[in-house]
Amino acid sequence: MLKRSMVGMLAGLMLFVTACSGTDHTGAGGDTDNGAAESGQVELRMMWWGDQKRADITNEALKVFQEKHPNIKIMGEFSPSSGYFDKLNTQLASGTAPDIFFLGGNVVDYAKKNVLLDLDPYVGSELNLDGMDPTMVEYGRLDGKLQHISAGANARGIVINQALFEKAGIPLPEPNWNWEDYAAVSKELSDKLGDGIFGTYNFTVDGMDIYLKQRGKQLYNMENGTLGFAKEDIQEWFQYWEETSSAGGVVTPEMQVSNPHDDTSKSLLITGKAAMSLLPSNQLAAFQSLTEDPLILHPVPRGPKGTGVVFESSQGLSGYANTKHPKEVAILMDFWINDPQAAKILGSDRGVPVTEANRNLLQEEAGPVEEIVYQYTSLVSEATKSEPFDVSYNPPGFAEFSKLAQTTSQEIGFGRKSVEQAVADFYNGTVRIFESNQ
Amino acid sequence: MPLKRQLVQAGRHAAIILLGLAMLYPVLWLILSSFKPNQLIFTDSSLIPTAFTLDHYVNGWKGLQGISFGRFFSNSLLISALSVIGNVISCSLAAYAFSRLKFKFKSLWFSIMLVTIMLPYHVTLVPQYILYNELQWINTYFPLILPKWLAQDSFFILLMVQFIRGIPRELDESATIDGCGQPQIFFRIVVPLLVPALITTAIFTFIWSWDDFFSQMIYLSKIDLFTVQLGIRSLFDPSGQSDWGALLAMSTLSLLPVTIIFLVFQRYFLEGIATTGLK
Amino acid sequence: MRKLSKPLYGQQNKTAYLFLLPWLIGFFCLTLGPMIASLYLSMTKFNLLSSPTWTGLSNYVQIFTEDDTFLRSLWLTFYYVFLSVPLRLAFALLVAMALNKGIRGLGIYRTVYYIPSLLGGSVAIAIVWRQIFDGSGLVNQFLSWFGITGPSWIAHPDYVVYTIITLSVWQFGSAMVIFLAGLKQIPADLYEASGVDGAGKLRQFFGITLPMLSPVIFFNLIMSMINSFQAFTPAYVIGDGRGGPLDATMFYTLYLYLKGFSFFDMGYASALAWIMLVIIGVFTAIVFLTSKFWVFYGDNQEGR
Repeated sequence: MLKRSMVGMLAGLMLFVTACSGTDHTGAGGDTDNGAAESGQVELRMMWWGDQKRADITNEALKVFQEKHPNIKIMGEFSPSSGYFDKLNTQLASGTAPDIFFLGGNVVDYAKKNVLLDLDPYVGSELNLDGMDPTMVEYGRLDGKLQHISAGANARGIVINQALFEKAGIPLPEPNWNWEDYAAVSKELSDKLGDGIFGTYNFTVDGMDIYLKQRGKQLYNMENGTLGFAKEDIQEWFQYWEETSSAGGVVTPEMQVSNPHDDTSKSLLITGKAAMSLLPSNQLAAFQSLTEDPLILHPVPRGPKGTGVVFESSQGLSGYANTKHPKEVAILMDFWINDPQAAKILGSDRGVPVTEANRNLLQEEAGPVEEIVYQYTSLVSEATKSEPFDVSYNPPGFAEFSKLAQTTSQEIGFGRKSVEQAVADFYNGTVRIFESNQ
Repeated sequence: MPLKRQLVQAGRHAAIILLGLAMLYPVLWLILSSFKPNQLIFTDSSLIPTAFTLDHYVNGWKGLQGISFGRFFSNSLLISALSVIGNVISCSLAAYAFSRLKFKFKSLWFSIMLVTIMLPYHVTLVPQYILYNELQWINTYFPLILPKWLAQDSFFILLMVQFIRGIPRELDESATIDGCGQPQIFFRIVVPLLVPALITTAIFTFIWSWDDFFSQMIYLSKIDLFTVQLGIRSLFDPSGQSDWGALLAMSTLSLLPVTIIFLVFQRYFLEGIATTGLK
Repeated sequence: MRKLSKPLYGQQNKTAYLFLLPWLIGFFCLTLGPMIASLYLSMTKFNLLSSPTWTGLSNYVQIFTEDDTFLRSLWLTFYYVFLSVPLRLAFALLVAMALNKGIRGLGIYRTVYYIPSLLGGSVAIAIVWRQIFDGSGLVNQFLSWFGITGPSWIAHPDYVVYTIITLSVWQFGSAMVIFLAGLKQIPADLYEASGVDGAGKLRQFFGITLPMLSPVIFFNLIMSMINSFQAFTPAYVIGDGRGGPLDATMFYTLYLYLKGFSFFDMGYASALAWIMLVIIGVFTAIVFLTSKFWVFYGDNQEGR
């Protein structure tokens, strides 16, 4: 008992000292990854989020990797998506983060705080990026350093429930439709399908960056580190949704809350109550598996400069800045994006492969749902050749920003504020968030 | 007279059953839906399944990465059982001191004990994680169990303080006259009279440890250490292909142990242990 | 109690600290350090990933002067506490009285009534509640018999808080169990004696049950209050976990969690937490101070 209490006291004291001297990140990591270096054996910890299927295929890919690199042992840790970032943040804060981990759209926040490994020294040797789309590589270059390797490409498109279109007797829209067409089709669908069935979800928040890009603006200008839009730019977008909603073509604000479009257990796309929404291509399979209505992906309505849709990263890998084995981290990343065997195992669960070679490889064996995804992504791939767009970066403070955007959309939807007032508050709030996260 | 009595009784049963049904509806939905095929879970609004399948139980039980739910259940049972023993012993000791003994700084310690549960745990999580990491307790059950053995659940201390204070003091006074010391008074007089509170503590500790998700998720990463709650959450990814059927099936199964525990232990409230022998 | 002589008091001192030893060890080794650390962090700017920098009281100043969400979430939390705590306790006491004795099948009934509390904040419960309280859910189907078109009780910002309160009342099981245990401690002969005196059920309830149960009511009140002030899970079960729709589920603890873990401002979150500690502390102290007027202990000592 005494010994235990002594140990505890000591630890308490150490904690106190560490806290007061300003949480030392390098000191605490020692205990967890003492991969016995003397035998040349290296142990890496890797963390990801997701469901059971993802865990299974990820482990299988890791197994193959360890067979190919017998001197590297990977400790896979996965967390349900609901707690992943809490856990990652706790580990980063206490200096015990895994050597390599997945990040999503919030990667900018981490890149700004110097916790991610700079991968530039390994490019060309351990890490071969030649087969990767240049825009995808660029996406991982944050604040001038390569800090992130996309592990799956996505292209957002309009998901269409074909059964509802047929039921309404409306032909599928032209591929090069515009936003007015979109509003009109939505209204027609709502009118013809009757009570409780709607043309489209309101994707003010998810589609904001696309709309801005269609007008030559963007959410966040990574190069200059500034916001990429002005208040007026964003006001049109909120106005558009307000008008389309009052015409009746859009899911009501209430249902938007109770049945978020991206939650497969609740989405009205699955229950056949909404005909269209904006969807990242890698989610199509998950949606299709829960409904018998055929779903397809259709191009996003065009603005003055085109669709604004490019390949973007659905999620990707980053190394921990304090990892003891940066080289092995780079080797694992290389395997993840380039190895054909890995590509076959991983499929398009995290998005389609980021290298063209692996995309072609998978397309050969694609099932009917994946076929739709590949057709759509190659369409996007073609379009970007004639209408190039920059990758979208989320602004720093992304979680807070997207919460604010959602609240703004709801304030308008529930009639709490006029569009002008809501947008003015939104813009001020965005500037404030942006400044406090610089 | 007997007829009226019977009517009153029947009415009482009816009311209790009716309210009970309202209480139970969500649980019934959960159980019955776990037998529906995946496509029907959210589209079929009737309570009784139109199609019946056991697949979810079979698939769900397989677990993750070759570790079956059986392992998760035994892990959860271990954590809950050890937590129960720890809480019952350590909290009753502390409660006895606070309710019956006189000592220096008693009110100060008592206030501190209460204050420790007033701080939302989210802000102590990071320092606590650093501490447990220094002790090399990450990926062990120590962070989940040891605080229980060291009476850090003030809820139960206060619970037992309240119950002990309900026990007439004349009992220990007469025992003191008979020459009993404080330890004897505690074990021979207070503990037997405290059984309802001890049972309550045991039930709650068991269930709350069983249902706890956040700290299990933070401190456990190795799949063979996973608990039932972690296993269930791993079936669930709102934007991905959640296996809803397996999720509901395993949620149903996870209710079984706690329900049994409750059903078994609640009998102790029926037997008037505390009241007999008291004057 | 005056008859305890001085040496005995000294004796008790030692015994008492022995009884308290596990708690003291736990407090000093596990609990105190993190608490002090969070107090320190509340006076820093700490984004979780880089070292904290000392900013003195500026987090507190900012909270009280420019944070609208702080005020809104505090108000929502108060509203929730003052509605849900009395409702849950009254309901729990009522059911406990009904399930205390005198009818067959008590064990089954008690278990049935406790099962909702077994579910806690699990994923499954979130799904089921949507089935019941959504726009086309059971509640609205019921209302439509009377020609009322109800809103979506889980999605409309004006009503969602009532759904959360309903959920908390529905999970009244823990309070009920504690009441049951308390009812067991009331000596049966008290009722017998008053029955002989010809006291009615109602008089027995106010004359015997309530006073004898007061230590347990006191306990349930304190604990429900502390727990409700820290309510966090319901916002996840009913709301979207980000306080939506429109901050209608932005409970205080959820707000500080979001600040700390999602918005990378742990210093600010720590300050919010310490403010909450003071608020809870004040309310707990008030209840303790009033307890001497309404809580009766078998040990014949005044309330602490």
